[in-house]
Amino acid sequence: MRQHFFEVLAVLLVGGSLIFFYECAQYLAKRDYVGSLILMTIGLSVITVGKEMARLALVQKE
Amino acid sequence: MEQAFANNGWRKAADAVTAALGINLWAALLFVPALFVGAIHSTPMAIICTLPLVALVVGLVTRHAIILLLLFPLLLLVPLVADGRIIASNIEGVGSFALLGGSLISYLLGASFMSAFHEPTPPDRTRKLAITRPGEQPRSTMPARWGRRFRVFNAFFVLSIIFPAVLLYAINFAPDNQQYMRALYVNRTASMKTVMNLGVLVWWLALFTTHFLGPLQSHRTGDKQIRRELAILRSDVSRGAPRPVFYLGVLGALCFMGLLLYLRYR
Repeated sequence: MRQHFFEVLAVLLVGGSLIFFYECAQYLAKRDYVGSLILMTIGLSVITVGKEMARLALVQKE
Repeated sequence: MEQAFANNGWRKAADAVTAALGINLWAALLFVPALFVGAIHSTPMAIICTLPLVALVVGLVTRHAIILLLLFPLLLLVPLVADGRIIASNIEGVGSFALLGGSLISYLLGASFMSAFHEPTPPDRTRKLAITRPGEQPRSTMPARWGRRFRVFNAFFVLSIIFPAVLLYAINFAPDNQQYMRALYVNRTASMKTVMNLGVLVWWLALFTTHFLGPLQSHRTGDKQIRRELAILRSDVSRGAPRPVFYLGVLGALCFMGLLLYLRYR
């Protein structure tokens, strides 16, 4: 279970960041530029965390 | 002899598949819609529409990955910019857009996979290195760390298809967003969509480079790539003339300046 923990977390976080980017596009369509910028920052943070989880998954020893 | 024949057969099949996928993309994205809206009405336009095919043929003959994966898709965009009616007729529905997206992804996957068939001939004999401790049996299954790596690679591959598709859907097809844009960007909806699509393209390229390729870069094993990069660096140092990318940049800049002038003053 522990072996797959980082892999599953990485996929969930990277895939989950897409929700924030989708909402960012929606806020842009509503002309709420501040909101869209905040959502983009959140999405970027989430995907960065997901990237780190993927990196940890790849460097795990057997 | 049999190995050489098999390699040659595989290469021809690879070229045929790449050519078929490229022609399919050109016809679906450009040629058929251009004929439908009557965009090929002058010699310059006919030349612009034929240029991607020329690049495809050159890329197949030289098996140059940059021509197949970058130049050919870029040249497909030129007629779309010259006459916006071509792309407008393509993205009216989710189905047609999905079909186009599928054609593009199939071509990129096929071309990148098939262009790997220029690898050197494998040696006549190979021997596996059995790394075992005394008394142990050699491993016959893949080590767990490689299984993990392939799972992460596959997951990122699937996500890299889903990401741009969802973002493009949000801008071009999501009903709520279309309603907002029509209400808030009156008479400017098409322009705003174009800007947002370009923004998504730039954003996705940056995201892919930093967050998708980033974790995988340090796990590219095998020193073929490093040896190739070192050889390129050595030849660059001794080379007195500009590299081909310089000429490509100059040509691209001149062509797009010409296109801009043509669109502004026609």
